[in-house]
Amino acid sequence: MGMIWTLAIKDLRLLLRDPVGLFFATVFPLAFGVLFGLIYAGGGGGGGEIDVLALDADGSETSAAFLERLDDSDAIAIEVIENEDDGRRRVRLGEATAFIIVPQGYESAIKGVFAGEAIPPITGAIDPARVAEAGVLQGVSIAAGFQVMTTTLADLEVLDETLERAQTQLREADNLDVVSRGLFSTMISSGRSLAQRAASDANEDDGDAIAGGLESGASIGFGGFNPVALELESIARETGGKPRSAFEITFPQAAAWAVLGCVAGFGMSLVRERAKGTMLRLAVAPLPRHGIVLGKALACFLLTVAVLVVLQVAGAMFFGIRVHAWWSATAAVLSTAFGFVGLMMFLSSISQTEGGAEGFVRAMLLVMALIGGAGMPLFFMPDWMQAVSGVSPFRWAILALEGASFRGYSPSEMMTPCGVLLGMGLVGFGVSFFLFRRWSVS
Amino acid sequence: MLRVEDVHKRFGDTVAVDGLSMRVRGGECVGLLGPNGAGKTTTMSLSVGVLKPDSGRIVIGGEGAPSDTKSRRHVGLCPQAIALYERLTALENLVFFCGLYGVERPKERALELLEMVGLGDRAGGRVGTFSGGMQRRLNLASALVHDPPLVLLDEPTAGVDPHSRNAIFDLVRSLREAGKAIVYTTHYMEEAQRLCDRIEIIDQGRVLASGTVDELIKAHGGESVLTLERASGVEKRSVDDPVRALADVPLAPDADDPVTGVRIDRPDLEAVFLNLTGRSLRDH
Repeated sequence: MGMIWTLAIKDLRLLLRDPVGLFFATVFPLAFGVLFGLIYAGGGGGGGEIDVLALDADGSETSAAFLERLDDSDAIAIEVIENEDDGRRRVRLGEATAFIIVPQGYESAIKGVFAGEAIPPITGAIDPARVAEAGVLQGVSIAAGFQVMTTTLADLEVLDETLERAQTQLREADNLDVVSRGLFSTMISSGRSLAQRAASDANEDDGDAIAGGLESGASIGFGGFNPVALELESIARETGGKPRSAFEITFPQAAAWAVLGCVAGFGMSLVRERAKGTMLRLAVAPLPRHGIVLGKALACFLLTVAVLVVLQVAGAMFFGIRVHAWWSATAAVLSTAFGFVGLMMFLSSISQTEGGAEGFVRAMLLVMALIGGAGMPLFFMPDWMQAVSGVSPFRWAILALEGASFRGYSPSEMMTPCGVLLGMGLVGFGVSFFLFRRWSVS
Repeated sequence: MLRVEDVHKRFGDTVAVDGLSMRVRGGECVGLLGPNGAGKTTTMSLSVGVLKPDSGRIVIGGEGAPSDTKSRRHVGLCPQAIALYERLTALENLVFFCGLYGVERPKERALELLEMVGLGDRAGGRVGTFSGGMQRRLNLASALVHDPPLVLLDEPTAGVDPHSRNAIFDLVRSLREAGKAIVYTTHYMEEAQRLCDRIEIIDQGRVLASGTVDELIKAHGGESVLTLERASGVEKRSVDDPVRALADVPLAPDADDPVTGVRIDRPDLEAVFLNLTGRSLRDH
């Protein structure tokens, strides 16, 4: 085992020093998954809006203005609904990304903000997988909240009323010392005088100056104050075996390209060892014949598993790809790696020359990848093509990985793709052992 | 250490090795001298068990067959092609080969070998950046990682510069002095003459003649040629002992038709091969 491990480490080291091979085994698949995920999702052009359901529990002009501001943004499309349960249900079914409730008392709180009234949080629910969309919703809500507040307070009568309430609260406060009370009173009185004077001026120029100043936002100086607190609970989406995002389609495809990169790289390395003569050194070393094959296979297996795990973890963490169960994900990764290592051994053992292997291995893998759904998703293909794709191990790898994700396969359902991959791997190993033995002693 | 007994090997209609027999003992360097295609490399491949003989027997270190895992620990092969990983460093290559043979303290052994072949200061350099001569020296070092008692060197100086060639010669001599059994294939008769205790001249898979250089020349080299240049012209004589023959020639300047120049051409391995096959080694 020690010698096989030595061979595997050597092969991994060689691959890590081959920038082209490493690119196709790691960077390219990830880029493929992300890029095509964005394209299929319509996010590539930046034109996609987030569907948000909104319940206006306040029913005020201010709350309506807030929702209108949200809807006016390029990122969010608001649909006003009347029923909270309906909103939650539709998020659960994936008909909308999020659901929000503008609470009762929202307008009153905005108007009383200088009197110390707290603005109640906007509550709701969102699919926990839509992390990016949640961030966008939060940002746009804060911007809309500021705009609504400044617009509301730009109404000088509302501002005067707010300051009067603040003055009343100041008079009633019994925990302030004389100096502080005097300073606050002077400040609020000055503010009211300014507001009243502006109101009289506004008769002449409609208060454009003050309103414009307030609406500019940047000149207000709110510091760390946040006019909108968004409190969204998570609602897991029920997709019924369907992908809930394009990434759930493109990441299994990316995994297929990753194993293609690994298989092509290691398949070529076996043939290259023969051409360069290093295979002769391995053949005369005191290790069993199959040890050479196993060393190469172990390296390919380890790299394939590593790349698949990285893709799974990256997909789950950053792109909301579901992992149905860790046992199924593990089964999918291991069976895929085993199946393709067997395929690698088979292809490299039937290739006689380095040049021939280069073309043959890549051509075979590419054709199998394309008919197996690594390029175009299987469900886009015509029926006959889907039937043909059964001969491609890529189809079964993609199916196994999807089964461990949005398809939510049961153990018995996982048996089919995993079993086919394991079977293909065993056949590949068997043939390569036979051919390699013939080569080395003929 | 190595016994080859009446070994035959064919590839289709081509006879690669035809009843070849030889023995190599410890502390002995045996040369396989022959033109390209004579069967030298096939004999090497048979000796390490990569090829299986059609008939005959090869024994390593007593009773072991070349394909036995145990026997392989006794053999170090330096193939004709540079069999190294170009993307690995010199040290990594040797450490890897040490790992294959289960060598203890592989890094120390690798560094020791690098010093031995004059590459101690290039341990961290990638092999792909090495000159042909440096690669040849490292190729030879790779065959020695496990300190084998039998070393098979298949044209180890092919295409190398004089400096590397001399370094390889020195190493081969030191291996022989250390008691290793060495098989050295070459088609350069100068190398065979300089390094080998015994030479097997092979052609078309058969051993044509075997012995020390002197024995081969004496048996198959033919007579020496004594050339006398005189005022009247050049005279050539074929003689067994040119020195004795020269003693009978009047060399005084006042002699009739005095000798103005003398040249002695002793037979060499080239002549041996020519006499045995009717062809020159260099014709191939």
